[in-house]
Amino acid sequence: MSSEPLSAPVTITWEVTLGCNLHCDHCLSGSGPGHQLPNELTTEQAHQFIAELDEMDVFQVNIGGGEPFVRPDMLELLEELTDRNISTCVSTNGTQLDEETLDRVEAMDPLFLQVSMDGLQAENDAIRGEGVYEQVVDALERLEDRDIGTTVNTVVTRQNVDDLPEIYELAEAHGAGLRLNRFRPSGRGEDTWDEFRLTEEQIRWLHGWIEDHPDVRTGDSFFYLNALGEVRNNTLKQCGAGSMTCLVDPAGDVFPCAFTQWDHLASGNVVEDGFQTAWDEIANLRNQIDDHEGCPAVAMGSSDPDGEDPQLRAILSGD
Amino acid sequence: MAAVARPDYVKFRREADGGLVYDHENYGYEDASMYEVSDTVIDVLEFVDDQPRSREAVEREFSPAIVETLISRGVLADVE
Repeated sequence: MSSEPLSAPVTITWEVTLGCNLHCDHCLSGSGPGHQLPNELTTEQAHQFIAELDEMDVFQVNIGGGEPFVRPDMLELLEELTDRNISTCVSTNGTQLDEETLDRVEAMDPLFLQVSMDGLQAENDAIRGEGVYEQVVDALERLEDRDIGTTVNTVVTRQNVDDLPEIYELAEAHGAGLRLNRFRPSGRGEDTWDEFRLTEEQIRWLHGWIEDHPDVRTGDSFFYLNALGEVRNNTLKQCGAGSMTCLVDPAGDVFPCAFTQWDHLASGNVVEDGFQTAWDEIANLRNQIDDHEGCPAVAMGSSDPDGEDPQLRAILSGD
Repeated sequence: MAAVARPDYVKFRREADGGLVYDHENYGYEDASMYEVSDTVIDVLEFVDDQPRSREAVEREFSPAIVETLISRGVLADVE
């Protein structure tokens, strides 16, 4: 990319609430029932923020949380985004997708759903809660007949990595793609990092499996190397946190990415400062983001003594 | 008359140095494509704007080769 900072991010992640009906052990934002912040953006503030996103020509907004659909105004906000032709992607736990919601979602374009599934029944429910797997499968069955682009999203952990071949088949059987996310030490993931992170052997198996399944989406620096440490996708090498993308939290505070929500990396607030101002300031913070090989958020969140992404180092050097 | 248009799934914006083209034709979560492009590409996209434009007019303003290249890369599309 040009050395000049971009006038606006290409894409942002907007965590619209910390409220969620689930309480997953690895939640990147530490969300859960009753976790809504008292100062989450109001509907009016959210509309103003969307108008500024449009004015700034942000191409894509990834909606996350918490569970976005526990916000009573979520569908209204999604309509506002898509009416402005902003590509909108909603990450949901899949338990709030009743038929009325899906009717309205189906009418929106461009809008895509990402439904979380962190293993087959035993592993998924151990992490996400009893009975959640069946609800997600039910949602996928109902989405199958809808004109809504859907991917199954799996955060790969030590416990569920062996389930990936069957999750892949299940997603395919329902007309959905599979996307893998890296488990990172943020939110409750900081507490469960040692329990859930992949072993080196699992990392090597995973990279081989991805090689054999090129249609599995990754979009993550963790996956740009193959099991032998060779670059398999140059486009994924660059970390875009704070340079091409950023995170807006439920209160409107802006951070480089979803996994770097630490006070010293905050760069303003979309209500108090305006998003353009916060974005313009974020280039200064970029200098504070570790630019070692791999993911800076993992390097910082795992407190690696060398300030590196330890899992990438394992691939590169076998340490 | 032959015309060209920018597909709905192609977005663009001008930057300090050139511009960006975003393409979500084969879209999945965070899997859209994004390209750094020259000022000329942005000039063409601004000229075409949101409506189909006569191919001849675009070729006259820029060049047939530029129009052909942008069509081959999916940034513009032939329309009836």
